[in-house]
Amino acid sequence: MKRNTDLDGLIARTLNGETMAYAEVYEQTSDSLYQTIRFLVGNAEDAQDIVQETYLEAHRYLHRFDRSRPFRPWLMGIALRQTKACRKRRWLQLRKIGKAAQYGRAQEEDFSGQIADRLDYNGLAEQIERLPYKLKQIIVLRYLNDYSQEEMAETLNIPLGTVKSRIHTALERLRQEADGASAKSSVKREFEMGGKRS
Amino acid sequence: MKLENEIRYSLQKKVQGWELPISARHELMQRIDRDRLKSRRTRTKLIPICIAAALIVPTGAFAGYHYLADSIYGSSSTVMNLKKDHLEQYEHMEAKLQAAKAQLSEAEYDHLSKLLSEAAEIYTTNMDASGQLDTASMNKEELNRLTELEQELRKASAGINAPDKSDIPQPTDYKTFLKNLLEEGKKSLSPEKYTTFSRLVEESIVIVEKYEKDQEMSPAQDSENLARLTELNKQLQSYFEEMGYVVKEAK
Repeated sequence: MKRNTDLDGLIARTLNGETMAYAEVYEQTSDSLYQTIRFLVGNAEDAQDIVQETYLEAHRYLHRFDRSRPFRPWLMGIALRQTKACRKRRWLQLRKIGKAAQYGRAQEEDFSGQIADRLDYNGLAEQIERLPYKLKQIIVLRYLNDYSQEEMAETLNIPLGTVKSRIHTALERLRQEADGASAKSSVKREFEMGGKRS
Repeated sequence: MKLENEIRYSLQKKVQGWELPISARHELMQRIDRDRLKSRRTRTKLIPICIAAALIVPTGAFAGYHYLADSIYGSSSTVMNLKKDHLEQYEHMEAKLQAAKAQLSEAEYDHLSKLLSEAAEIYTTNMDASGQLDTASMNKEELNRLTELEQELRKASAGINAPDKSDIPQPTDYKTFLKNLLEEGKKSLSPEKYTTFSRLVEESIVIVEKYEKDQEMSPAQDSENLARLTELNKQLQSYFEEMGYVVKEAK
């Protein structure tokens, strides 16, 4: 709560022309934003660019920000739009060199081959990374950023019902994959120990 | 452990240690500074119209498209790049200035003009593309100075009579003003003079129409048209004077 009040004061000072106040806004908010975006785009370089563009855009349009609302979801909304644009650029680049299809297949095959060995938490994070982008986004906002469902709806500009159904679908997929991996793992263990496959 | 807790824990574990490089903050602040300078440069092309409605009291007689406002806001040629509602506001501003000039002493009017010029300068350098004041890009000194100017302007323009709104002719754009002049010239100019006058005015109208059709014209076309319009304005001066108009040369 205190942190939010601080942030509001910093935003007010930024609007009064104090550039250093905006530097402090960046200090307070950029790490968690960066972690989220890096998880979503999958590499540090793109994530750094997106964060940079996000803070530039936020500064440019800060006067339009409704200060009765929380700042972080507003900032995250900008970052996610930037991420979308970045993903589109990357996809177009991949298309250009004609490797998009192979790229996608190679990753899926690699994933399915390894899943049985990945039951630890790192494996779960990788399963989340493999989710379709829409679901991955929902999971990261909910469980890494602790956004409420209402905040997620506002940030993503989608209906609350859609947020709920996406959370449900994402959890269901992760649960199924974890169960599938667990089953494969137990079969593998039985096979290695000389047990029968039934 | 519940799946949701596992997800939370695994995500936190995954992103642990992911930090932005220290240089990123410095780069961002530099880009913000560059961004601000760049936007100020591009904004100087626009005229700070919005100040007109906010700061100047109502006016007396409106005598067509005069250019008192130019002395405060810059060139009328810039106005022609603006949309119709901006032009109307500009003309309204001009009418108010005419009233102020008529009702104030020379010293008082000079004082008012100086205050407006300073306020206009602040607006010009801090306006967004839509012509609205962008307070986010202003520093504290500019914001404070603008507040002071607003108070001084109210004081300087206090006491100017506000005529009934219906007494003020409806603002027109430059093209309409020129077209009205054609009609008026028929009555007030000799046939010989009117022939030359109408040719000059009609050519001016054609250029203004080009602006209306293509507001995004190239810099080369833009300067060519403006140069010609300026020349036409010069040639029209004597006719304007004869018809009782004081029209400043477009810069």
